[in-house]
Amino acid sequence: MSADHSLDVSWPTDWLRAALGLCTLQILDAQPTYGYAIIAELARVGLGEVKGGTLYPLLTRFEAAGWLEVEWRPGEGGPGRKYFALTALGRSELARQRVDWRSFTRITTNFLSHSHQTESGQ
Amino acid sequence: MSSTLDQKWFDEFILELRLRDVSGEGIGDHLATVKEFVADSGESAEAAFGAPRDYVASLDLSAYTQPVSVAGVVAQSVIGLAAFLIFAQAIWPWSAGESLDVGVAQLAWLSLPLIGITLLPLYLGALLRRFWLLVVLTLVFALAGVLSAVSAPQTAEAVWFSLDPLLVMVASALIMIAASIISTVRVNKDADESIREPFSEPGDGAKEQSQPRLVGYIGAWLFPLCSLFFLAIVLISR
Repeated sequence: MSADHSLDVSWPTDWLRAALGLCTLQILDAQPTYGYAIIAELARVGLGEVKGGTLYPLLTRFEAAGWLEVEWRPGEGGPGRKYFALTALGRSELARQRVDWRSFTRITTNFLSHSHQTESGQ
Repeated sequence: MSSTLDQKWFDEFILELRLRDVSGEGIGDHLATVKEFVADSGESAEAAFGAPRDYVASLDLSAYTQPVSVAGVVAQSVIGLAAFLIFAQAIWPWSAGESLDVGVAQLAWLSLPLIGITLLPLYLGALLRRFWLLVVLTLVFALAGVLSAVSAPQTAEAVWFSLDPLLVMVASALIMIAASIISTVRVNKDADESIREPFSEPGDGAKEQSQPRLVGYIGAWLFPLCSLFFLAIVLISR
C-alpha cells in the first residue's frame, strides 16, 4: 500500500466508519498483526487517526463472526501482544467486500461526476 | 507502568465486564488488550477507549460470556433475607414466652425490602456503580425492618394471626443455613473464574482474588451471622 494522502487529512467520521472494516481486513490480509500496528498502518496510508475504542469493537465483531482468529504472543520485554489473523472465512469475506466496494464507489463516483436531475424535478 | 487514572479506568472496566457476565478469562483477555494498546500508544486508557461503560457496551462479548443464573442468585437472596427478617421478628416474643402476633402494617413494612430485592436485577448495575446508592438502599431496608418491628400489633384486635415463635425461629434458621450453603458453593464455583491475563504466572492474581472470595463468603453467611448476633443480644439482656 502506498500513502497518497498527507498525514494531517481528517476525513468525515462517517466515511471512515464505512471503510474501516474493509481496510482493517485488507491490512490483516498481508500478515497477522496487533491493534496498534493496524492503527499505525491506517494512519500511514492516509486514512487518518483511529482510536483504540473504535478499532477493537470492530475486531471483536470480526472475531465473533469467525473472520479473525486471535493469538497472544510474548511481547518484547513487556506484556504480551494480541495478534489478529484472517481465517479462510475472513479472506473470502474480504474478497467479497472488495468487489462490492469497487462497485459502490464506481456508482458513487459516476453519480458525482455528472449533473443529475431527479425524475420529479425535471 | 499504569498511572493512577489508568488503574481507576481498569477497575471500572473490570466492573462493567463483570456486570455483563464476562468470564474471568475473557476479562483478563480484554484487560491485557487495553493495557497493550495503552503501552504502545502512550495514550491514557480514557483517551484511547473513552468511558469504560461505553467501551464495554461497544464490544461483542458473545464469545466470552459465562452462563450465570441471575434469577437463581436473586431468588436465593430474597429467601435468605425473608428468613432473616422473620427470624428477627420471632426472637423477642420467644424471649418473653409469648406467641408471635402478626399485623397487617407489620407485614406491609416487611414486604418493602422483599420487593426491593426481588426487583434487584433492574437496578443492580446502578447500585454497583454508585456505592452511596447501595448505602441509602440498605438504610431504607433496615428502617423498614425497624418500622415493621415497631408496628407489631399491640392489641388483640390488631392481630391478624399468631404463630409459635420457636417453630418460626427453627424453620427460618434452617432456610437461612440452606441458602448460605448454596451461596457458599456458588462462591467457590465463581472463584474458578478468576481474572487471568495472558502470560500471567499462577498466583499473580491471588491477592486480587482473595478479597472478593472472602467478601463472597461473608455475604453468603451474613444473615445467619446477624441472626446469631441478635439472638446473643436478646439472651444477654434477658
